[in-house]
Amino acid sequence: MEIPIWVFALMILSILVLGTMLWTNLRERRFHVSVPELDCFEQALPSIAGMTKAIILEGNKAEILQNGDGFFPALLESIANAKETINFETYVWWSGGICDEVANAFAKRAREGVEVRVMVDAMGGMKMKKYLRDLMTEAGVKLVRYHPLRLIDFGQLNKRTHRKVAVFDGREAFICGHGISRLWTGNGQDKDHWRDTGVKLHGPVVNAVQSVFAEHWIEETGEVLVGEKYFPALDQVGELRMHVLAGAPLGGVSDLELMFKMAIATAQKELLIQNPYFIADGETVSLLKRAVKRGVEVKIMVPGKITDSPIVSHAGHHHFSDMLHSGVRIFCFERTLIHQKILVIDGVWSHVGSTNLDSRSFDINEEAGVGIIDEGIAGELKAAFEDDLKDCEEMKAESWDRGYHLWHRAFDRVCYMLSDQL
Amino acid sequence: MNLPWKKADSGNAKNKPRKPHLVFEISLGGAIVYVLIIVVLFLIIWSTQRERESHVRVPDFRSFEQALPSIANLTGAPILAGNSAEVLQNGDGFFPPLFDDIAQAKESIHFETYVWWKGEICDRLAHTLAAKARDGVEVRMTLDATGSNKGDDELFEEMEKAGVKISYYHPIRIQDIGLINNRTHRKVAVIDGKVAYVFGHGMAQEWTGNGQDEEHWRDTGVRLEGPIVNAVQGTFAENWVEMTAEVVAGDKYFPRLAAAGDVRAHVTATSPNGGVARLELLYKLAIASAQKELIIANPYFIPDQELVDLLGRAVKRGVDVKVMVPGKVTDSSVVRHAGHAQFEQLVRRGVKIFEYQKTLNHQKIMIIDGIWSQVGSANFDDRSLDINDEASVGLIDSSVAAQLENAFEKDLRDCTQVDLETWNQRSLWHKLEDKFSYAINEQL
Repeated sequence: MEIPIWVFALMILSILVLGTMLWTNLRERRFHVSVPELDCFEQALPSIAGMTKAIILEGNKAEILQNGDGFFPALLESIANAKETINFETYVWWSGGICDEVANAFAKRAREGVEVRVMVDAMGGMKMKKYLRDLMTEAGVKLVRYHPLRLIDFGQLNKRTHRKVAVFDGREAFICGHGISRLWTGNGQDKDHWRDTGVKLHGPVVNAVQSVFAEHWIEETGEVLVGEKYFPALDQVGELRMHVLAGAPLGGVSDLELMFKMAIATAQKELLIQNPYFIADGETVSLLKRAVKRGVEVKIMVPGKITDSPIVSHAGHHHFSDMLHSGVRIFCFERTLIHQKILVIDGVWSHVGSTNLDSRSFDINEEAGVGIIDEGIAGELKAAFEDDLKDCEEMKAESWDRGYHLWHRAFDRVCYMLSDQL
Repeated sequence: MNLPWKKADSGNAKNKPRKPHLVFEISLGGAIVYVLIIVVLFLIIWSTQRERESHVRVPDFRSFEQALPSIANLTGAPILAGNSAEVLQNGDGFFPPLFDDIAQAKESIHFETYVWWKGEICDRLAHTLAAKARDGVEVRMTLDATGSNKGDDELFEEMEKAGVKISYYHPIRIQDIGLINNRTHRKVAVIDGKVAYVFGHGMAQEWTGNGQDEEHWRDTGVRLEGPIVNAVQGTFAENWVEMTAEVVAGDKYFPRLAAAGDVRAHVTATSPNGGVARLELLYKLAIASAQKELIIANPYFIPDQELVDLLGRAVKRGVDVKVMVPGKVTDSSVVRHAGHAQFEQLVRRGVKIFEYQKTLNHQKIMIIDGIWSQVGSANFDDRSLDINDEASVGLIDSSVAAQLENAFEKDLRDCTQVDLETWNQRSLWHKLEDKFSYAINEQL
């Protein structure tokens, strides 16, 4: 077939134009946020709440749930005790064992007339077998997959819900890092039983968790949850102040990213981080270094050899040398995968949730976490951190540099460059 | 210019070798690959840009107070108590207090708006802000890149020279082509983190005066004090940090705010995020919660079928539904026509529609049961509900509602009510225009 050259040129041009359009659509805009030095945490609080649009709610109670042994019994108990509504959202849900147990518990309550809504990410829930889905839907559970993998939703493919929340009768809420899989059962004792942390909440904050659940529910189903069985007027039940953060890629700077960076900037004494996927960007590294400089003790715990994503670990290594040399202490947890996402600042403020410290969590996925302002809770999480330290190996700047060969360095750099999508 | 294939043809006639640079050889396979690439690219782009249709099913409520916690939480706008709210009518009501507060600002002035055209009011505001910046007050201004492109460059330069930080929201550039459709339509101002304005006014001569004639539009804003100001500041900060990466944190932006009155208030700020827009949800839930009376004044009123049904349901349960839209004086006749497409159905279902004739009625007001009012930037169309960034404040207070309602009643005197008989007699041409405009309304 012969065609004039100008037609050919047009063909090439049309591909280029469409390609550019696609690139600009999918491109993540980079935000290099500059965070000012903040005074003490209490003073920065209204700013953090305002910038992240997460109002501080007073009068709550929280209970920390460690590992599967702390989490699943509490979850199953709450499922068994719910009277009117159960709303549950998660990323990972496999089949067998605990997965069947949780599904059966939902199905049982649905048969008893409780409204049960379950939202599972379409990607994270791929390993959930059909018999489990049938079991639940036949019992009357409203089971919905978030962003199903369909051609017409190709543009949404990359956007997953990584949130892990549960709300019972609008009066009790869970926020956690646990997925529904055998890996999260047990007590973090070995590499097949992961370490994770969640919280059970009571008080006005539950309304906020419910609205996080409702957001995706409306998006996928169009059903608007209104009324006292979802959003009751909640009395104060305790002393704790809390704020719920739900990250969603809005095209701007993610609220969670802002919160983490501002939180680091407020620390005056001590900063504890536990995170399975820790890929600090340049800004975070400089915030951490600034913190060390003003006298904050910064301790970061990341997975050691046991990780479900070696590439993420390697991407994280990229800034290790820099951080170690500037006095940030980094610990590798060797007993099993630490999957919890914990932040504790100055023994006062803690954050528990689903957010990893990488750009997938900040900019792409939908996440949920809760900030708790309470010395008791911070103390408990710190004690757990210190307990975990026993199974850690601390990285030392000199030995890290010595063992940090060229090929490892190069590999880390490649992983870091890819890290936007990991 | 000669078309190349003609040249090639004429060259063909005598077995002369073709000029090789004019014709290109492409195999059938190549053509198929090309078509495939184009189709795939189109599909991907369409799927990323496509607005996922969200059909929200809103239940009827028994009472507004009962629905309030649900509404506030579903729209991400928790209700804050202890505020004061002052209703500001038209330019004459709005600009003097704004200029007063700016004059008294000590530390920071934040201002975000869509329209910044030309005229005396722009000069005055620019000079004032520049003077404050020279006095050492931090002045930050977010202007929509499209809404402000008619503005006077010299003014912007003057302000920037004086130290005013101006951020143009979503500038029109090739690498941001995917963002071009997302504009900030928000209109907010926050002074020293202690006083906030939420309004419908743009910066142009049209918004000065008292809505007295076609050159002076009708609009409404509110001046707020109390804890709600933190939330308005958060709304400003969102687009500011997006464009400048500067995190505004500290006491001078987010002070601890004591109670300043007894108005309960909540701010709904939207940004398109792929899900159901908060403002759309807010409007729909608000309509569903009305029990007695529902008043809407909006310059761009293009309800989708769901909104039409919700309004109809409201009438059915005994709510007096009154909607005021622009008459002949409008800055967008396509929008006006798009709205018309639904008028017949609305009127048939008992919604009272009034066309305001004196000037452009630009205010975006909603009053429910004489207790809950919304004032802000959001129009009643897909662009505001799904595409733009908007900000609206909800005020739960019967005296604020009464003030707005009095103004509405007064506006009614300059309105003609749409009645079915005369409405159906509009010309065939008018009807076609309505249909066509509605068909393209998503992007208006």
